[in-house]
Amino acid sequence: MGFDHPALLLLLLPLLPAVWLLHRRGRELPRVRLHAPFLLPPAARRPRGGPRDLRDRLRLLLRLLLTAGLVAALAGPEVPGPGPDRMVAVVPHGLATRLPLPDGGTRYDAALREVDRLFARARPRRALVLLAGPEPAAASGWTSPAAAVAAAARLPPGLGLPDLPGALREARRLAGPEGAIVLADPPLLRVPGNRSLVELSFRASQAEPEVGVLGVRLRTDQVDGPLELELQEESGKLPPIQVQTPRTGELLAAVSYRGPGGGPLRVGIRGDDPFPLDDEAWIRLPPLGRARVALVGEDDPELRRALGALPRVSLEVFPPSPPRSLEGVGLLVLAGQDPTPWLTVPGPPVVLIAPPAAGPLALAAAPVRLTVDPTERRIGLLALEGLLPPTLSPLPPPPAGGKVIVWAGEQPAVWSSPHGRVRLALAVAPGRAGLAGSALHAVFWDDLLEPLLLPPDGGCRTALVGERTPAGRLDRAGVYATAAGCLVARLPVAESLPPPPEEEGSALLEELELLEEPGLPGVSEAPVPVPDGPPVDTPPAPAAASPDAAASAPALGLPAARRSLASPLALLLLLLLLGEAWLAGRAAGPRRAA
Amino acid sequence: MESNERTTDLLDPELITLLERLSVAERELVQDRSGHAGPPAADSLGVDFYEYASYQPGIDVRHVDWAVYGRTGSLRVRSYESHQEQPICVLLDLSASMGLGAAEGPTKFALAHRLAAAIAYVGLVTYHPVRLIGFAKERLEVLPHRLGREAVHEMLRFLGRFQPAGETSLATGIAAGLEDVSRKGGRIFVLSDFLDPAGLVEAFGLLGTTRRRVDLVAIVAPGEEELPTGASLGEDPETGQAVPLQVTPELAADYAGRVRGQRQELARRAHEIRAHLATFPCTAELPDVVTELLG
Repeated sequence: MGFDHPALLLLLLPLLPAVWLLHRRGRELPRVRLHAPFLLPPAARRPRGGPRDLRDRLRLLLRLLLTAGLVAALAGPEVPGPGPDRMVAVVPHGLATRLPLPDGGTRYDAALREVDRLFARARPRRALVLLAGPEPAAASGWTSPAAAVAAAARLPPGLGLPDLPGALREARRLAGPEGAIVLADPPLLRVPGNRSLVELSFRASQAEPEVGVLGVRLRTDQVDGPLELELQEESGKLPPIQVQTPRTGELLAAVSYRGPGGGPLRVGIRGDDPFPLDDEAWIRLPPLGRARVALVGEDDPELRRALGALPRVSLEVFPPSPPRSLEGVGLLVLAGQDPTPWLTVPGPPVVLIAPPAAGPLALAAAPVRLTVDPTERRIGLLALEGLLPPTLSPLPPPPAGGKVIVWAGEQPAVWSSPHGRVRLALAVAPGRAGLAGSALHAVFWDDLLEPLLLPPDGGCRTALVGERTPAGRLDRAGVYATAAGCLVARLPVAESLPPPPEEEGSALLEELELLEEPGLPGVSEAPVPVPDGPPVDTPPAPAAASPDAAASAPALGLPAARRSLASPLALLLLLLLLGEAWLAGRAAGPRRAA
Repeated sequence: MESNERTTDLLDPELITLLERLSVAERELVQDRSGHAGPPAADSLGVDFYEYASYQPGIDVRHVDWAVYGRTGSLRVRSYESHQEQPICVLLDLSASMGLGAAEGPTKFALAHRLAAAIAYVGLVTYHPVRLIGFAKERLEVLPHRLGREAVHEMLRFLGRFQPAGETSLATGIAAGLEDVSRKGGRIFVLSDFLDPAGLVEAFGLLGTTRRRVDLVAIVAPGEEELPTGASLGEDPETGQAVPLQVTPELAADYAGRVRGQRQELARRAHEIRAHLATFPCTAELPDVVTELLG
């Protein structure tokens, strides 16, 4: 048995003697000085130890028990209850977890200690530690809580930016409806005078394809004066940028970028810093300028209008045959054509649009929401979950050894091949989606093209703060997407990223903040100040985060591993109270009779 | 210092003025004291005419003053006051029960204490040897015979140190009072509430053996025979023990009857030994009590 607030039990020390004294005072009889005690009738002497004394002792006992019970109730008694069958502990496993703590360990160590404590309190039958790195990963299979923590402790702290929303979704799936999820948030660390590069993001301008906007999220802790940022890409250094930051707070600076893109960009903060590890960050920029998109197939004016309206697209229309050379083509769109002759490896990403009601891809009748298999780490890059295309058609069954990783309703939408490639089938039927579908059409393509147009060796990675991603070293294995009518695209996968060097590339991150969707709120050259206040100690409330995170929030509470004794204790106190009142009534009886 | 204050409390000037007019000597018919037939000779020492007293059956008719009878028609006999030394012994009950009294009023001891001082004062200033004894069970305080006005202060200091404590033992005090056999005659004053757990048999057995005049002064407290009904804790002031009580009206009446029975027994035994019994409430005024006793 334990107590939520055991310190309150100290109240018993003064209260029990006080109750005893009050009881003694209350039971004191009026004193009568007898002139002739030897003349007292023997019957007037009340024998000691009679029923009255017994009742009195019982009343004292009940009062002491009542007092002790009330104090115990205040202290919140609990007894170990049956823990959940399964419990998933989500531990941030980003680069920030390498941050050393004053006690000599890292934030990762502290988080695991917290998990150990949570498991001991929750007493789950089976446990699993889910590491929230850039992609969620389980430290072990379902095992005992101690073994789960030990397995996680054998792993080094993480790298990159933790995908906490994804980890929570994964944890929710793993735990199942009956399982519980706990989040071990390692302690935050405030470093006065510290300047941090929290996040980098980049987005090409829609109006000017040759211009990009670099978003730099900065955090300062008791820092006076402006910060000077230095930007460097492989071709050389860019002019430094001065940013006026609040003394303590967070700021999102938007910086115009004019350059070729398509390579890594280093951003650093100049000047002294007591904690310099988070003063550098890298981001791989997408190539800027217009991308060549080849459209092959029968004339589809709506599709051609949608693609041609995209500012970053230079649309070329090819006849179905014979296949042309795709050199320099950023994206191939096959509309109602057999993709076999066009698919070459390596080659550009391909979008296949199946002919309506023809071929192996049957059109779905209504728009459906995609659900992504959370165990598929690579698909997380696509951020496809929740995407609502106008219409989807199911994918043929995956080949032998293949695995479905995205479901469109009840039908498979994406499967991965046994050869390490992932094929994404997006069956798009723009003509069937009505007005809403038509409106979504261009937007859908615009959103889809952003990842599709990346070069095979590139990556549109945002918020990978601290990661060094040298150009040209990405694995060519990728995610292939097929849309209605067979669209195939190849995207880079995260697991191919080389690990950053130990001595550089770190960042001070706040994991909970990452529940917010990354990205720039808008294009602005002016800094966006953050209201004053403790920026580090007050993480944003999960409820204000993304809908997925909000949905996960209720599951983050500590499960009732201990059963509260408040109700039985209240019943016991009530019985004691009734007993005391009954004894009081019995004691008052003879006086009334007298 | 405290003793001086106590002595002042015992006798105030008004009371002293009254006491100066009183006599503690036993007044009795001369034939009872000397055994002579007829009035004493005029030159007889130690005997002086005091007053005419009414004739009582049993008195020799030869002592009737016929001249008075001739003038007034009533039978009167002459009473003489002896001027011989009459030792006075004052026994003061010091038991704790004497410390009780009326509710928020004077205690029995307060009256008995001052009364003892008054009797002793009268005895001393009238040149009678005065012996003071304070008694309780296993406690005996004795001031041997003192004589004359100069012994007043010593007497008052002796009385001033008394406080009621201990259990009642009438036999203890009376036995001490009767120890002095060197002097004959005189008076013995016993100031007590006569609530002795040992009873009155032994004490009155001793008193019955003396030929001195015995004055029993019973000090009672108003309502001492009452016992509150219900649950209470009865304290015995003499032993300090507390007894839990559960008193019904019937038991309270029984107790009152027992207390009254104790008083009746006291009167009966006093009559048996021909002692003079006077009962005063502790709220009584001391001058009235003194006047009634010695006047």
